[in-house]
Amino acid sequence: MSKMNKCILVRSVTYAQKARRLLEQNNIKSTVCKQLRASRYGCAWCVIVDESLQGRALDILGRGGVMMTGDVYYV
Amino acid sequence: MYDRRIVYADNAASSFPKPQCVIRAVVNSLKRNAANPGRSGHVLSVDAARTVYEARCAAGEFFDCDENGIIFTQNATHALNILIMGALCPGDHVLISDMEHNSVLRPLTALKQRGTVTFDVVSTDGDYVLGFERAIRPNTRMIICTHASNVTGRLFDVARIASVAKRRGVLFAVDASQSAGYADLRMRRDHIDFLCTAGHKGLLAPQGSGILAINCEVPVSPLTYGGTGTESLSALQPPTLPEALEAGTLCTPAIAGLKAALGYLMHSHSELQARERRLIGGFIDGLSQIDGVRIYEPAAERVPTVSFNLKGYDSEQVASMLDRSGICVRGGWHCSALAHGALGTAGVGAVRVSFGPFNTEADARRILKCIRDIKKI
Repeated sequence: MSKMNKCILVRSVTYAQKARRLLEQNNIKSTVCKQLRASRYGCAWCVIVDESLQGRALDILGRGGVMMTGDVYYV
Repeated sequence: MYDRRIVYADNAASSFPKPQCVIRAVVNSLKRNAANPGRSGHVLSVDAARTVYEARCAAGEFFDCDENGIIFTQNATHALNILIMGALCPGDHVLISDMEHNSVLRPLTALKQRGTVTFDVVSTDGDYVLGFERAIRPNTRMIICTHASNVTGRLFDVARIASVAKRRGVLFAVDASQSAGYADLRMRRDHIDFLCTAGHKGLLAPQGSGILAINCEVPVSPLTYGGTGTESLSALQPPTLPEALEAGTLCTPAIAGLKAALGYLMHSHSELQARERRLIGGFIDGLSQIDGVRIYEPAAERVPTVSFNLKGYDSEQVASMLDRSGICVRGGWHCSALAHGALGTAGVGAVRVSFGPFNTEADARRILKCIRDIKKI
């Protein structure tokens, strides 16, 4: 994946699916993905969005009640 | 294919047959994406997880509950056990109706025997809403009431009970196993904190599906601990719903079927309900004209279920004779010690006829004829 994408970690696969749906409703394309990096969580889920939309995506997800871990990184 | 020589009138046990869209959804899931949802990161696992999520959203819409509060279970018994074992604390007092299924009575009895929880049974004879209110104690934490009796089919006014519970600061849980898919239940509108239901009865989904719907912030401890697909390096069960209460692999094909069933019901509900209401009404009228038949709570507002006894015969005898004529009903005690105690049928049980959306008036007439034929023997 290009470094132009950001991976937003969420608390569960259910929240990942919810995140994708919320973003889609707001015309932001995203992909549900298992977290690729090893981390302190072990298995984790994320949604991947275009870097330029990160701020807007985080706002939408926060207001939409998606529980995020707070980790966001490049993919 | 469904053999029309058999009249299946045991929908209170499990609905049969299922709508074609449900069968297709299950087969499609098995053929196309029955990978483990939410475990691996590959396309099929993600696709299966999406199916599960869409089913969750459909259930949330159906019951007017946030989708994160929709917990998929194996059946209603599983849902009720998660609730009772997970939401109650030592010292809590619980109120239940005298029509509750053993899946409410037995876990509560187990907790009572451990000395952690006490409970009282409220009679549904007369003003049961007042009965519940009068039975509330300072330590009453929860009221659990079935929406419809699995023995008599009688519907209870859970909205009024919920209103009392809310006013008195008591949690309210509904066992919707017999009413979901037939009667209108909306958790937010009706102030229902917890709803437990089977997927495989009135919701017309496959066996292996059930729902615990949570519409409050009360923590529920898991019944099962294990893999949830997240935070795998932690020895602690992650607390996030719904996964916190869904350890282990979900039955994706059953959930796919449930999703299809909910769509079918949302589209056809009014028409199906009207037809089933006419069917059970006509059947009870016909049954009441047979000498020697005793019908239990004949005048009650009900789901399409009724129980009766035939004078001179045990209930299992009648059910067996009907079975020989190709009629599928249930005799006996219906896993409901409390209900049969309240009805006075603990000694004999009862014969339960329960219609579903695919029963016809011809089915009802055939059952009545077979009952009349038994009397001639």
